[in-house]
Amino acid sequence: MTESTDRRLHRLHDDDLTPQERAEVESEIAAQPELGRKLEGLREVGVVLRAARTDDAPIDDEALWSAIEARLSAPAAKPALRAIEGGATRAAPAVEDPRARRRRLIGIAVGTLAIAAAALLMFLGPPGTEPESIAEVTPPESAIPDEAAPQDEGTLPATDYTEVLAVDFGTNVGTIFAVEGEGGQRYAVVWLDDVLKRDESDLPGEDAPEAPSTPD
Amino acid sequence: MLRDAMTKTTCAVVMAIGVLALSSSASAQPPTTATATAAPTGTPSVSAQVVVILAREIAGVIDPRLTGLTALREAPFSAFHSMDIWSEHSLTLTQGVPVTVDLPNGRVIQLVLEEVTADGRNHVRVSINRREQSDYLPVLEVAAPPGDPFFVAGQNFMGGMLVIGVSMGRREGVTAAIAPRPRLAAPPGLTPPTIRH
Repeated sequence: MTESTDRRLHRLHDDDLTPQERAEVESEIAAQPELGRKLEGLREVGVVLRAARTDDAPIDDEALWSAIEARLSAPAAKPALRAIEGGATRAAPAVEDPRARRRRLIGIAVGTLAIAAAALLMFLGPPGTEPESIAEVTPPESAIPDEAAPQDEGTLPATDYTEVLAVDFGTNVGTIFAVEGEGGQRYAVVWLDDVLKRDESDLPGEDAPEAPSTPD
Repeated sequence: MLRDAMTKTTCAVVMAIGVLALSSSASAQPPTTATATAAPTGTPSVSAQVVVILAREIAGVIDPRLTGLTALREAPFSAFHSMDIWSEHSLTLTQGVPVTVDLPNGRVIQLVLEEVTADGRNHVRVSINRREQSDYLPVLEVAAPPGDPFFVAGQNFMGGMLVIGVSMGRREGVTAAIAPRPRLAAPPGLTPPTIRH
């Protein structure tokens, strides 16, 4: 079987032969049954490919791009995901106290800055250095009182929040974050890994104390 | 006039700190044993509360006096299912005067009131170390509104972790975050904590 015969089979399958060529190929197929099986295989492949296409209509590029642009310019749909703040499970109040919200936002800002500062300290400051490697955390810009803007009655003073001004973790690795109090206050937490091993961390001496009993 | 008054106050504070430093070094005592007499009359002071909590992951109970502190039920504290108040200390912090509290793991927490800021917050400098060492927390400076606690956590102890809560002053019209004790009987074998002013 020559290459031209294969090509002719394909052209026959594609209905791309002249009547003379078609007659010649069909006579070859009649003489060689394997050519008939090969043509049948080509037809089966064609059926499979056509079945895989769900839309035989030609693609309208203009319509496609118009649809994409329309989707992009449409208002964002409500996301299916929501941000969940870490911590205890609690029901969110229907209307959040603006004081609590203000403090929460400030606290988050302070916490973020503090964590960033702590990270800088950990990566930039050589361990074991003296307190010159203190990380300073400046208050967030939004928390700085604006003298030109009068304070609304009932709002808290702009500095009614805890601020970590400086920290030196020494040789330890630590972080600073905030946890939320009952009224929405943000309480600073400084968390340091302890270099002491467990057996060293207990009281030195033979009489290690027992944990205090919880009062009734 | 105001500037003069502020200058005089600043000088007085600086001199007080200087005298304090000299007296500490002269007596060969660690700076944590400063006496209250070093503070001149009229120096700002504020009440403070230090609560040492032993938090453990094992099943247990949360000390009922901590129930008002919902912050300790937030992550990552929520991982602790047992919280016992190991000790509580009511202190008076006077500006520039170090006050120390012995911790059960042999370390010492030192607090120094740096100032009461113009916005009413208490600026305090904290360190936690073994005596004569700098092995844990050399410096921490916090400015906290009255009554708002802050926490230092992470020290291993007795199979758990020490969580130290510090609050200074009290917010008007708000009860203390940490309920005042009824006094605990000292746990067996536990030496009462030493508070040095």
